[in-house]
Amino acid sequence: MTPTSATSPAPDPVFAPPGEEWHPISLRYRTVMAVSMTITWVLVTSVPALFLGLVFGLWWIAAIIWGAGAVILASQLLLVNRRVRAWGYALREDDLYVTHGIMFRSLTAVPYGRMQVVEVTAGPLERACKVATLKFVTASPHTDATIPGLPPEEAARLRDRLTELGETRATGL
Amino acid sequence: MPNDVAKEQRPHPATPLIRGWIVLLAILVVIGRELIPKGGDDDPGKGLLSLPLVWLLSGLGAIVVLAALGSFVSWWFTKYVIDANELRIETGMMTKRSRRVGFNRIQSVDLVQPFAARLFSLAELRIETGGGESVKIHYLPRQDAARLRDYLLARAHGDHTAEVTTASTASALTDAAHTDKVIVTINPPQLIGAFLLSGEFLLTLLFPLVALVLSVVFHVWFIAIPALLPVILGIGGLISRRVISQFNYQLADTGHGLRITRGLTNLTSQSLPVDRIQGVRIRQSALWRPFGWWRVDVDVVGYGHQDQNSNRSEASSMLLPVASAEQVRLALAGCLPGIDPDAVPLTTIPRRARWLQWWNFWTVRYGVDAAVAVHELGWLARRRDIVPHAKTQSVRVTRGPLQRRLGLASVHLDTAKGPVDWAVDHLDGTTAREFAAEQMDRARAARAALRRDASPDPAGNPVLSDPTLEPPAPCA
Repeated sequence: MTPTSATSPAPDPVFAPPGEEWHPISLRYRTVMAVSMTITWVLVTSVPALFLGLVFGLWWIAAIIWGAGAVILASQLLLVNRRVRAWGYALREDDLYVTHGIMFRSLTAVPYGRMQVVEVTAGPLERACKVATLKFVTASPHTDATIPGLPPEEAARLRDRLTELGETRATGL
Repeated sequence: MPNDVAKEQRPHPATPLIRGWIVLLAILVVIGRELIPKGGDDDPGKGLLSLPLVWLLSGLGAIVVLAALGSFVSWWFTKYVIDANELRIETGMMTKRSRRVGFNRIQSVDLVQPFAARLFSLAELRIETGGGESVKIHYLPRQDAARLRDYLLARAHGDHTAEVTTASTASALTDAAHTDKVIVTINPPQLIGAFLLSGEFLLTLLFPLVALVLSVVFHVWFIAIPALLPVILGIGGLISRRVISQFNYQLADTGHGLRITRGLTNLTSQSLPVDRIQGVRIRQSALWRPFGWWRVDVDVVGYGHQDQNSNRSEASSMLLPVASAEQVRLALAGCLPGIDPDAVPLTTIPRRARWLQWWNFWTVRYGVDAAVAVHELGWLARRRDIVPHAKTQSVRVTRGPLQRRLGLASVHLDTAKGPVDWAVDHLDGTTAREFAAEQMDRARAARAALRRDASPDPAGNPVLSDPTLEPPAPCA
């Protein structure tokens, strides 16, 4: 709404924060996302490309595969900044709100009382960038309440807070 | 049985015999399979039949004796105890295993009578705790098993003074107490008709028919015929799953919840606590439409777990394999007491959704009342999902690029694992967001109402506590 939001995705009333602003995630998560994307695309393209090249000598097809992979990867890397900025969460009185995505946007609202487990994980790449991922698990496998890119102390604080809120508001299924 | 508390008991002595019988059957099946001529083999059953008969029989005898010995040992070391607060089952000779099931952890208790056990008036108890693998006790005399089941179910509902009378009369033919109120009975013609018109069966039938026609046309039937064998076996399996195991299907209200009794050879009796039902899906395929048949599935906590032995997960998420509209209405009144899904006011989605869902956008209806959210769609095959507000796990709003261009968005109500997937696509964006926010409020109010209802039990034994929360959820 303000000119400063030029870098963040266009404001959309459907995905507006419930109350105050969305809590953003750490921008260090951009590195995690970019590196893991690069690794994924290098692997995905190199396996068939090397197979075709080494076994059948079809190096020109391999070059096309790599080229296409490079184009897709470059376009994805350009979006990393926006994608990380599109993540957001908000703690309301009774519910946790999580939003993410730029092309395919999603907003999840979960009552704290529905908590089964709160998981905090951090892979080697995430640890190197000093971020962690928090996952709020309910009885439904479709609940999409994962917050990546949290500073570790923030993740631990949030985990304790959510656990506490979840316990005081717990309801049977 | 509940009177002699804390006394160790063993399953019925005939148990090893019956389990041995199953082993014998398995052996016969394996041998039978060897004897059936295989596709390319022009010398059928060469492998086994070339052995002298004496060897074959003595080998068979040895296997049977070993199996019998094994099942005898496992029977001897199986003991179960009913304590003040829990059921304990100890098994194993070399590796001891002791499982404890707290009464307030019990989700449901099923009574299963496999054919062999049925002949001996025995039954198996399967206790679901929601924590994965079900606890089994096999085999008990049928009457004892039924009594134990009733006792466990009563205790699971927090009924401490449960003095179970012999109201439950499990017999070789049925399992019903005179206090049970039968809600729906599915008669064989309806069951078989629905099976013959099910997509599953017709698809399975289509392949061999096409193969047969092609092979006759091209004169290669001698290749096609042996290839049909697995298909025939597949149809046999389908018939056993869909018809034989669903035969004499009966849904009854026991006062402690619903009970499903079914099966021609194996008699299964499932208990289904009403407050465990997380959502209901009613659907009708195009072929069933002229007959007005519907199928009803439910999400039940603790039933989502796969059990390879008996494709249970599918069997037990089913409330009615086939039913008329009137039977569906009765069953819904049984599993969503006090709620009339037909009375829920429904609205449509905007006409501009036709660009994204041109094939049935005009049939989409959704709406809520004080207790449930309803969504229905379809004109050829129809489907309707009902989710009680108190069972909503989370609410999601999603929007793809095309939806954004049209100003539309989708709303999902997430429920526990199961067949129900309540999702309305292509609502107006603002409406979707408002619906989600209001749904959160409705769910909160419904949960608060549940807590108020559950609190009269001061002993801190929440009525059928949440299986996945440890320790039992405190009533805030």
